[in-house]
Parts: sequence; structure tokens; C-alpha cells
Amino acid sequence: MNPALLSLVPGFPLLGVIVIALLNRKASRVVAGSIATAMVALSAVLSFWTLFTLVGAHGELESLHTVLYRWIDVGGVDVNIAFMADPLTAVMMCVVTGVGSLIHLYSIGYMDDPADANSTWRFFTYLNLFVFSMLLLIMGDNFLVMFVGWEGVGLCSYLLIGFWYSNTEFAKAGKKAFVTNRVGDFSFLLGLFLLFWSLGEHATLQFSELKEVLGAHPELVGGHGGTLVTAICLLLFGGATGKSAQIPLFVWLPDAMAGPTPVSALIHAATMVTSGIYMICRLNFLFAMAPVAMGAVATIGALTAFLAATIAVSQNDIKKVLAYSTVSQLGYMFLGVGVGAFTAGFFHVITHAFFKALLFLGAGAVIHAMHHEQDMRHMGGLLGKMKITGWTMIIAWLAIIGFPGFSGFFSKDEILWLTFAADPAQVALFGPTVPLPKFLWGIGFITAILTAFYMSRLVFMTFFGEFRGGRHGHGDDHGDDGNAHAHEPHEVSPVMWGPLVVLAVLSVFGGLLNLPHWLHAGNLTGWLHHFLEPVFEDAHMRFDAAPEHLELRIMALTIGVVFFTIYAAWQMLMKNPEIKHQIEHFIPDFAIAGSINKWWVDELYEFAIIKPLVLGSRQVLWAIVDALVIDGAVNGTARLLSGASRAYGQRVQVGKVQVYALALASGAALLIFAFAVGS
Amino acid sequence: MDHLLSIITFLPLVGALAVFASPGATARWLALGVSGLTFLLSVPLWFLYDPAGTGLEGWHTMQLVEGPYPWIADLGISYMVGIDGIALLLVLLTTLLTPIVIYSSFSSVHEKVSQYMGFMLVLETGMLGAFVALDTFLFYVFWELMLIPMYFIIGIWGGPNRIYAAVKFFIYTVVGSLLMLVAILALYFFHHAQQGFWSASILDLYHVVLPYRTEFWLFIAFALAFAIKVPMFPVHTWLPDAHVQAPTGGSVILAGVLLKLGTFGFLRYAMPLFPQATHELGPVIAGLAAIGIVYGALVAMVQDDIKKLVAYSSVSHMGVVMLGLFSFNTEGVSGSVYQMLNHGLSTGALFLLVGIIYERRHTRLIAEYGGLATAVPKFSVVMLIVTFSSIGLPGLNGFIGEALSLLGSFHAHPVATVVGTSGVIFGAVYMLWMVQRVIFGPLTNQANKELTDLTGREILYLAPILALIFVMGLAPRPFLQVMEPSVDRVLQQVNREVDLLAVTESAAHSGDAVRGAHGGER
Amino acid sequence: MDQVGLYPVLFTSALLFGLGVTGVLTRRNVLIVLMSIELMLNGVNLAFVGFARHLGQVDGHAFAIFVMAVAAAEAAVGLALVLLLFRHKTSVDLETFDLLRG
Repeated sequence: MNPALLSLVPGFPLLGVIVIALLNRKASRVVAGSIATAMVALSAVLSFWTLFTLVGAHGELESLHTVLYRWIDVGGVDVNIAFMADPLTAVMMCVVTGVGSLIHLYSIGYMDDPADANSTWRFFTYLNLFVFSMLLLIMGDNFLVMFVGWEGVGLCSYLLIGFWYSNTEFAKAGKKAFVTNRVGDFSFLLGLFLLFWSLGEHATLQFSELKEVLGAHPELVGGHGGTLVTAICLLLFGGATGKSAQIPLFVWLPDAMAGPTPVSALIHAATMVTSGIYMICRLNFLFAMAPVAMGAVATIGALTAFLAATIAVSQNDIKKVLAYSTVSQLGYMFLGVGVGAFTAGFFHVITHAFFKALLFLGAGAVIHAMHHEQDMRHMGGLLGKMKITGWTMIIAWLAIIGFPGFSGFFSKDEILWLTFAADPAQVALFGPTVPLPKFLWGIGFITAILTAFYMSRLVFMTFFGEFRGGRHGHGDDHGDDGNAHAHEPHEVSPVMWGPLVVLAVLSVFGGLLNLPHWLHAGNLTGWLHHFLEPVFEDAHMRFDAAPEHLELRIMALTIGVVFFTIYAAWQMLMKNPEIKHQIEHFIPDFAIAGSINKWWVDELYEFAIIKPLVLGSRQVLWAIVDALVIDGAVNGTARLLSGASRAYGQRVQVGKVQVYALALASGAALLIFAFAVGS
Repeated sequence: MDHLLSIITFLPLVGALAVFASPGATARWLALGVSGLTFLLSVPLWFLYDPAGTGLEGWHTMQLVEGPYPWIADLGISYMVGIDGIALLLVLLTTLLTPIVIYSSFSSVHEKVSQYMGFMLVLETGMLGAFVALDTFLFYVFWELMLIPMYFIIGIWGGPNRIYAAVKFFIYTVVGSLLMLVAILALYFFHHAQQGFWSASILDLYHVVLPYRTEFWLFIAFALAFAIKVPMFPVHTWLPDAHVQAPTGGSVILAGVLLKLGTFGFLRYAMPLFPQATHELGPVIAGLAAIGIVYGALVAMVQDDIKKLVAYSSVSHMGVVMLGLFSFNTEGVSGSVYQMLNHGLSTGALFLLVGIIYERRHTRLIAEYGGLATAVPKFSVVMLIVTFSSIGLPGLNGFIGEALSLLGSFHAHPVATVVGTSGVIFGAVYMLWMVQRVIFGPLTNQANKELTDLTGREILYLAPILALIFVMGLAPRPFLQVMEPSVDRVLQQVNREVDLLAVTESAAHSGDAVRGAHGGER
Repeated sequence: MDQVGLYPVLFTSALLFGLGVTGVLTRRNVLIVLMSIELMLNGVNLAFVGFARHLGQVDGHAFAIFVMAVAAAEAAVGLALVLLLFRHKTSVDLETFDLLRG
């Protein structure tokens, strides 16, 4: 394919933005939605064409590249608006546009609330703008274009979380997301500055040139394991923690669920939040030089995965569970790339995009059917009422908990196994000999159990047992009529369940992309791994070539424990609630309260950072420094001067002509006297 | 058009005479016509100016130079104007913003209309003159000329506390500019002592080599004058008062152009004239700039008055400009000049928007608003775009300037830049918090429900700014290319290797010579 | 006339000027103060003329005539001001005029 066509991939969604924004209220939900969907679908076609071009080249074509125009050119900064598609980009493009177009299609059905009739055009404008920005992020051939996308997706996230802006809480959630991301961007920018200046005369912001420069002159950044490269990577990773909701900046993502559910699926599950992982994959050659930073990435990832999972087990809002689940799964991905298993981490990005988008869209269908009810305690037994939604959700559930054969099983298993087998020297947060990978595997393993539990809980509470709806007044903020009959949930329209089915198929068969070697699947074995090899080969990651049986045993152990957890969850939640109470006795109260209250992280930030900043600014900086000290000094000087002149004026400037004349005469006499004496 | 620059500079002043003499309704259109014509005349400058400076010699080449025409011939003071790429852009910013401000004032100024419009035009001449002047005395005259109309604009058409604000603005600025005058005179005598002839031309004064101590103090004098104008922390407190009390038009011009004269002064005068002191004090100024960024943002965050919030945000944004200026490298200084333009556009637009709702509701308190997105969607869209431009969203203009300034200064002052870069966080905090409280949320206040959306006239004068916000974000190259050679030449002067031996020798020599010169004067 | 030297003229001039100064400084009536000023001017005139004669140049004469013209103008303006002041304060006492007090 002609590389110039690459520009059209983000070009179509941008065209959609312009067209829909120009039509604005004249575009109905269906018109705006169709335009938006068509644009993303066109991008998807081009993306797949790109992918097949690269696949068909069998490694002879490293990447497609096109320059749109020269953007900034000053001093040592020379940046083009240019797009690049190597295997990594191509796969990500397909995921974003593919899943993106499904979610666009779904949104046409979802956004049918008459209260929103006048603003659906806005929704689709933002959604297309998001796809455009996301494509800039992944296709940009340099840091700055990537950063345009990086901030652009943040903007769309902000706008879409606050889509129902009349609700102050929603508007606040949007702001919180943007500001938290900005904290990450602060770190990202500093990393960028540090990288730029450390390269000296070789300074470049383009990824491929950077790779060449670092290959030829690793000493510029301090060489392998150097302090400089570690600092750069840590700062860049700081940016990733913001965008991909990791410790310590994960707090915005759960609040981001204020946005319409398709938004949660597209932005806050499948695509945007994975951009941190994408960034690290893109810069694998840089991160590979900094084992300490890699260790930090893996450790933060594992800890986030665990922490988020402990919160997810006790949430009752279906979207909140999924939000924390997303944070947790993102942690897995960071764990994967952190230990050097870039392909595995990225593989999980893909499969997660399928099943998490499916879970969110399914949850959206449930919420839609339940008239904006999100509390799982008011659901139950929905499988009978919503067959397609229910069964597709069950598939997604099996995929995320790693049920053998489903897509999530292959990706998660690979991450866990490669974590176990990773060379401690490349994950050297606490030194090259500390067996950090084994420890991280332990955390990942426990998290897998928690994942199985909370996801089973979600599915059981929603689709099985008795329907518990209709007991409480709900959907109040949308002012439904009080007719109980209207609340009876029923299956959603085909435009909504269609995408669910497609995603369900992908969730089942996604694993085919990268089948493990022990399946002996011939050409299909590790397809993704081979395809991405040109991107990751220079990172030279090492894994313990342990005997195959150890890998299989660890996998068997994981599967066994997961099965047991599902069984236990079924017993606890559906069959015998007594067990639940008994188990709760064993868990410390502190842990239960912590889980329910999200470990008080928001409160901690509020108390330790936000309050002191606001109070300090108001009471100290503004009231004391500005008004008292500086203005006090200014006004004080003025008062002093005017007081002095008043005193002077009252004594000397008496206003009598003759006094002045006397002074004049005396002065003249003095001068005459001085001249007389002087000469 | 041999005298294009002079025509552009003085056309508003001539127009002002006619405007003062005509009745209000005529004065409006006349003032708009004059300032519009000035803008149209200034557009050809863009094409006449040759960024590469082909065929021009020397490190500092001004173009479209007129003069020197003897003004006070005996003292070597002459009328001489000319522009480099930096001044060109700022001249265009001025000629663009003035008609916008005049047009926007049609609905906000109803008393003493002809005087208001006249003062605006006088102000325009003052600003343009300060940008194009190549003679230090001429520069000083224009510098002071700006002060008078601004003083009246705040003092006559301002808010309830206008007299205090006007006097504070005036005295703050005058204190700085008097020190600058003293420094100009000293420089002038040093030049005579070293070169043997009297000249106040900046191009001649660049050749003066000063002993270090002297340079240090002269730099302080210039820097203080400009720092007050910028304004830098801690001499910024005139700004919030002046902004809050000034009428909308005054605020826009104040933020849009007047503040730029401070940073422009650093770039044209303080830095290249005193390179050693500039480098010596660079870390201090960068430190103050970084403090200003965070301080301005934090104080902006807790304001209840939208205008005051925007005023403090200026302190923060201009800190970025200062940080970029003192990076001493092309990236940083170009970014800084770019950021001057950005700040002029985005903060100017913010003040216009605040003025628009103030006209309708007669309050600027954030708490009085909320849910405007529902009531006035067009206004809200514009407000959001301008907000994100101000925050520095990539793709809009603010990003280019901010990122380049910070990138540049990271090289020279890493610690200050780390502090300053945190402004990207705080900037988002105060702007988005304000947006959340003003634009989003439920529409509860009855008075807000009856607001009318942007009128055609308002859209008309906001449109050029909005267009530039996008153009300058997506295609910054033309602007950067115009300024880059000039920036490089200034940097050459700022970073020149100073031969220390020559300095010590000339110290002894010029010390005597200066005494001699003073003796001669007497 | 030829017998009169420079010094008697200067002495008279100084006497006149001194009288004028004393009048300006001590009298409270504005009109008298104005008259005293005339006295001072005339004292100066005398010195001019005396010097001119002594040095044999006409410059002093010219100055004297200028001073007379200025004195006339001053008297006119001064009296007008006094008139206005009197209307304002119904008094010509200098002690009552202190508008410039700080």
C-alpha cells in the first residue's frame, strides 16, 4: 500500500469531527452516529490493509512511513507531522479502529435517551475526536506527535466523562481525570527534556532515529543501567502511570465511569488507558537499557494489579467493579512489559481490549435495560431476560479469569509464566540478584485468584439468582415515569447486541494470535511474537529456559486455583450465604473496610495534597504573601512617603506668600554672601 | 512606502486627535477605522520583512530602518525606527488586538466614548513606538507615553476601586522606568567615553563594554523596570488590581501587549546590553520565574473573581516566558517569544469573554455562575477552546510556546524548570476548576437562564483570535522562521565571549573618561 | 551730573531695593506689597542705568526699558489677581491667603 494513505487513517475520524460539528444539532442521533461509525470503519479498513501489507511483506518491509508536513523547526528541534506503521503500530491501529467502530455502532443504540437528543452530535464528535487523537498517539513517528495524541485523548476523556455536564459530580470527575493525567504529563515532559538534552548534538525526537542514535552511542544516556537512562525511563513511566491509571495516579479511572458506558468501554478500558503500555513497548530499546526502571514498572504493575483487585471484590456498582478490574488488568500488562515480556504484555492489551470492551458494553446493555440502574444488588437473574447480553458477558467473564482456551487465558498465562522465568538482572529494582520476578509472580498469582472471584461475583450477582430490581426507586436522575412496567428489563436492540456478539467471538478466539509453544500449533504458534520481533529484538530480553514441564505445572496450578475460586464464589454467593459470613469473620475488619473504602486513597490525597494546597494558597500565599507582605510593603512605602510629606507640608508649606518670600530672600542673601566670601 | 513603520506608528496618534474631537457615535467607528487601517498597513510588514536578512551585515540587523534623523542632534539623540523578527510579530499582535478591543468596547463603554477611543489609539502609538524604536531615548519616550492613556483608561472607565488601581499601576511602573532612565543615561555617557561620539542608538550602545560592577547595577536597573512590567514575582501586585479595575478593553491591551513590553525589553535591551550580568543573574531570574509560575497558579486557583483569576494566571504564564528567555538557547528563547504571542491571544480572549458575561450579568464572581454550557453554548465552546489554549493543549498554540520554553530552559536551569513545569499541572487545576464552576454544573441561577448567547459582533471579533489559536498550534513554522534568525542574533550578543582583559582595561579608561564627560557637561 | 560717580547710584539703588524687600516681607496689605515690588524693580532699574552709564554701553538702558514694560504687565496682572482675591475673601490682608498650605 502507498504509505501516504496512512495519513487517511486518522484523517477519516477528523473529517467526521468536522462534519458532525458543522451539522451539530441538525444531525440526529442516527445521522451523527452513522457518520461517526462510518469514518472509524473506513479507518479500520485502512488499518487492516496496513496490517496485511506488513504481514504480506514477511519481514522484508520494516515499516511504512509518511510525512504530512513539517511542524516545528527551531534550534535542535525538528519535528514533522509524520506517521509510522511498524508491526506494533499496525496491530494497535487495528485494535483501536476495530473495537472503536464496534463501540461507535453500539453507541447509536445506547445514546437513545430522549433527554440527550440535542447532544448526541456532541457525543459522536468527541468520540471521533478521540479515535483521531488515539491514532495520532499510536501512529506518530516522534514524541511530539505522540504527545499531541496523548493529550488529545486526555481532552476527549475529559469531555466525555463530563458529557452530562449538568451533573456537578460528573464534571468534577472529568476535571479529576484531566488533572491527574497532567501530573503524569509533567513527569513525561521532564523525561522528554532530559532525553532530548542528554543526546547533545544527536538530539532527536523521532523514534527510529532515537533507536539508531542509542544503538550507536549508548554512552550518551549513561550506557546500560546508567543513572541518566534510569531517570529518563522512570520519568517517562511516570507519564504512563497517569494515562494508564497505575499507582499512584490510578484514582481518576474509577471516577471516570461517570461518562456514558460506551465511553468507558472505548476509552477507559480498551484503548486510551493502554497507551502507557504502548509507549513503553514503543520505547522498549530505551527501557531495556534501564533494568532498575524496568523493575519499577513491573513492581508498580504488580502492586496496582493486586490493590485494584482487592477493591474490586467489594464494589457493588457494576461499572466500578469493571473499572477496578481494568486498573488491575493494566497492572498485569505493566508487569508483563516490566519483566521484559513486551509481546506478552502487548498481547494482553489486545485480548483485554476485546473482553473488557465486551464486559463494559454488556454492562452498558444491562444498565440501559435497567434504566440507568448500576447497582448490582438491584440486579440478578438477568440471563433469562437478556439472553444474548448474558451469554456474551459469560464468555467475557471466562476470558478475563483465564478459563483455558479463551483469549485471556493465553495472554495472562504468558505474562505470569514469563514473569516467573524472567532474568532478575533485567528487573533489577533492588539489585540484579534479588529474585524480584518470583515475588512479582506471587502477587500476580494471588491477583488471578481475586480476579476470578470478583468477576464471578459480578456475573453471578447480575445474571443468576433472583431478579432483585424494582424494589428501589432508581433512574431518578433521569426522571423516568414511575411506571414499574417500564422497568422490566428486556433484551437490547440488534445494533447494540451485534457488537457484543462480534466481541464475544474475538474474546474466544483472540488467543489464536499468539498460541503458546506447548500446543505445537505449527505456523500459528507465537504468530504475534514473530510478527513483532523486528520491533522488540533489540531489547535482548532474557528468560530462563526452564524445562517445559515447569511451565505447564505452574499453568495447571493457576487453572486449578481459578476453578476452585469460581466454585467457592458460587457456593458463597449463590448457594450458601452462611459461608460468606463465616469467611468474613476470618478477614480482618480493617481489610474489609479498606476494600470497601478503596483503601482511603482519595481521602489521603484530599487530606495530604489538595487541602493543604488550597488552604495554603488562600491563607498563606494570597492573604499573607500577596496582600500582607508585598502589598503591605508597597502600600507601606506609599503611606510612609505621604505621611512624611504631610508633616513636611504642615511645617514648611504654610501657604503664606511672605514666608516663601522670606525664604527666597534669605537664600539669595546667603548666595550673595557666599560669592562675596568665595571671591 | 519608505516610511511604513512610522506611518503605522503615528497613524493612531493622528487618528486619536480626530477621535477626541468627534462625538461618541462617530468616534467609535472612526477609532475602529483608524485602528483597522493601521492593521491593514501593518500586514505588508510580514511580506516586506526578510527573515534571512539577505544582504545585511553584522550580527544585529534591523530591517525597514528609518533614520537616524537627528532629533536632538547635539546630544546624538535621533529618531530611528526598525524591526527585527521579534518586533515584527509583536507589532502585528498589537495592530491586531487594538481594533478587536475597540470593536469589543462598542457595547461596554457608554460614557466619554470619544475620550476612551482616543486614549486607546494613543496607547496603540505608544506600544508600537516602543516596539519599533531603535533609539533608547525614543524608546523611553514611547515607554512613558503608554503609561498615560492606560492610567486614564483604568482611572476613568474602571471599576469601583479604580483610582487606587490606576495610581498603583502608575507608580509601580514609573519607579521602574525612572531607574531605567538613569541606566540609559549612564550607558549613553559610557558610550561617549569609549567611542568618542554621542549616540543613543541601541545599535551603537550594543558596542559598549562595561566593567563588571557597573554592568551588574545597570542590568539591575533595566531588569527591575522590565520585571515590573512583565510582571515577575514579587513585583506583580499591581497587576491583579489593575486588571480587575480596568474596563475590558484595558485588561485585554494590558495583558495582550503591555506585559509583552517587559519581556521584549529584556530581550532587546537588558540581556544583550549586559551579557555578563545576564548570565550571572540568570539563575536568580529563572528561580523567580519558576516561583512566579507556581505562585501565580496557586493564587489564581483560590480566586473568587474570574478576572482576578485570569490576572494571576498571567503572572504564571509570563513566568514561563521569562524562564524561556533566560535559557540562552534558541529553543527556549524562540519558545518564549512564541509564548508572548500565545499569551497575548489566549489571555486577551479570556478577558474578552469575561467582559462579555460581565456586560450581561454585571458580576465577575465565579459563584454567581454555573451551567452556562446549557444557557449559552456558543460562549461555552469558545471559552473551552481558549481555556485549553491557555493550558497548553498540544495542537493549539499554547503548547508550542510552553513546550519549547521549558525544553530550552531545562538545559540552562534544570531545577527551576522542574518547578516551573509543574505549572502544567496547576494551570490545568485552576482553569478547569473555574470552567467546571462557571460552565458546567446545573443551571440554577435564574439570571443565568436568561443570558443571551454570543452576538454576531462578538463572534466577529473573537473569530480572528480563535483562528490564530488553531493556526499557530498546527502550523507554527512560519512564525518560528520569522523570529529564529533574530533570536539567534540576540543570543549571539548575549552569549558573546567577553574578553575579560579588555574589560578590566577599559574599566580604568572609561572610569576616567566618564568623569571627564561629566566635567564637560558642567 | 558728571560729578555723580557709580557708587552713589548703586547705593541709592540698593536702598530702594532694600526698602522694597522690607516692604514685601513685612507689610500685610497686598497693594502695598505690590507697590514694594515696584520699588524693588525700580531699584534694579537704577542699577542698570547706572552701570550702563558707567560702562558706556546701551545694554543696561535697554534692560531698564524691558523691566519697565514687565513691571507694567506685572502690575496689571497683579492688580487683577488682587481684585479677584478681594472678591473672594473681602480682604486684602496677606495673612488670610494661605490656600497653598500643605
